[in-house]
Amino acid sequence: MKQTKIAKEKVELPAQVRNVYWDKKKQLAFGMIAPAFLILLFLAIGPMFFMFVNAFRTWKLAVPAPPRFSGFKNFLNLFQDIRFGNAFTNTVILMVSGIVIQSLLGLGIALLLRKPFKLRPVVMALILIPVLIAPVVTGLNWKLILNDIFGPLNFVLGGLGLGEPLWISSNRFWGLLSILIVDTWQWTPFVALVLLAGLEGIPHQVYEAADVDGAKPIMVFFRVTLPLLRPMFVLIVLLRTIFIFKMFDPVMILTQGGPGTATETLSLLTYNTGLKYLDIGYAMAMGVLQIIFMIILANIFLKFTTSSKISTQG
Amino acid sequence: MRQDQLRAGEKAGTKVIFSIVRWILIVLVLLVFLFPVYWIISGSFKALGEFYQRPPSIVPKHLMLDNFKNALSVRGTKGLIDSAIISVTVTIITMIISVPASYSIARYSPGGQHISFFILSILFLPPVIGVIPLFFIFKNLKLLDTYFVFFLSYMFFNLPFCIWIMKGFFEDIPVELEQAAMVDGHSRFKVFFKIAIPLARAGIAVASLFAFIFAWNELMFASIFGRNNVQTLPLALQDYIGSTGVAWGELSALATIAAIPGILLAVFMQRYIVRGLTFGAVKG
Repeated sequence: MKQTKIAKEKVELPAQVRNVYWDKKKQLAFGMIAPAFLILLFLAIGPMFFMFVNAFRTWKLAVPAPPRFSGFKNFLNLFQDIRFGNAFTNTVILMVSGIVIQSLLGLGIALLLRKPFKLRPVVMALILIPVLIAPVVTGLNWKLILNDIFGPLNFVLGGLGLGEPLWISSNRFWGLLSILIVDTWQWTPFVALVLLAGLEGIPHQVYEAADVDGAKPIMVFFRVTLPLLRPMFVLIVLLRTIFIFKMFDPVMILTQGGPGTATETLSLLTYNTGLKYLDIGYAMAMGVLQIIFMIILANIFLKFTTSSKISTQG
Repeated sequence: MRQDQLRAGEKAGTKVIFSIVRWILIVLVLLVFLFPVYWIISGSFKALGEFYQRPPSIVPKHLMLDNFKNALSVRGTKGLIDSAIISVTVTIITMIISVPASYSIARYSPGGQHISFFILSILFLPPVIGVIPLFFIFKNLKLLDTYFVFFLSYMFFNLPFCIWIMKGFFEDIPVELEQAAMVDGHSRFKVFFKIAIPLARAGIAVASLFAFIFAWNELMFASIFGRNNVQTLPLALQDYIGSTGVAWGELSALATIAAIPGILLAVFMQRYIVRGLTFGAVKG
């Protein structure tokens, strides 16, 4: 009834009126978005412009010389910079190990919580606490837990006879591992709940069909469940890549990139270069590379979420 | 007959074992993810000596509130008040700006895909990339260390996030509902206020809670844009860590206070967190 009414109205509108009608709609649409757009323009395009200009200039605030155009010099330096390579490697290590470990643990937890039980919503709410606690609190907390002498973790490890590492302050391996542990603690529950939503989106009929075919539970898991979870895994890989790439607070609080520059990540190196050593041009060149990487990722994310079916699941 | 019964009994037996193992694992998971939360809360009741002992003190010796008192008397109060002012104001501003923007994108998509993409890609930017240029821009505008710079700069991630999240909720409203109202003589603007907003209220609530928690938890912008006039809780906490001879008890007390909003939100909006943090890709 309503449908036909609308259709009728549309047909009956003379061209002139329709124009006014559409213009009003457009005005409203742009009017509603304008404030947000202008603010974001100032906050994102302003800095972006600043970045692209200065990435091609030599501008060190620590030196009295005025900024001057230097072409691709910053970028060429970046590719030879051992410290940049180190930060890049650290970021990749954290990304890859974080994604693998968190996906596996998350999958385990999701399978544990798959069958509904009375307290399940409570468990789900409680394990999400790490995600929303202020990162500064998380970092500080883990500094206490990972303390090599008085921390509870080393006490347990020592008691089990597994040795007591120095964690944060010892070397690159333990430093990165500390950061990884904190990130894993914070994000695994989130990964688990994403996978749980994926598991619940798998229709019963698929399992009934597998059952009729007499498939063994392990076969069903590898041949049915895992392939059907694929979109969720892609989503997790995308999101975790983005978040670990952006990660700053835990590194800043736990290790400050140390010992030396052993655990420095790209975000932290950019921060240090720009705001500590005041080498603006160089920091902005790093920024440009990171922006390019992120724009590619944003593109993939958008294509992926609009094309795959995950948005209708759950 | 007997064989069947035996087999059934065996099956029930394995079922019980499975369920016991499952519960042990669930408790283990809870222990792993909640112990650190317990550790910070229990730390706020400990005397300083208890932080330096082996075996570590699992249960605080006394339930003393001195740590809270001290933490709030030194610089905690300033941090708490500033965090509250900034988070509340930022939430209000974010919602006023992002609700119409989000509706406009969901319904009319002005500027096509480009605007959506622009908004999403800001969300993906490492904040450190924005913060260095903004530091110089704000410095030249003499805005550093003011509340205004916090209100403005926190829009950097809050606006795109809230627009993106609420967009999904607005898109869930059937267009026919709004068209019917328009046929009944309501203007588009009225339809937005009287129909779209009430129907998307869950999304608006979720977005505003996220806006609040992001502002409440934020550290990097705060550490660069704030100093003496404006000092949020994360900034106050970081200063504590940096100083020598850390007063761990006070620090834990302040950290516990800082953690409360996150804990409450996790518990009460559990089913929306996954949707929010996957940028709406998973509707839990």
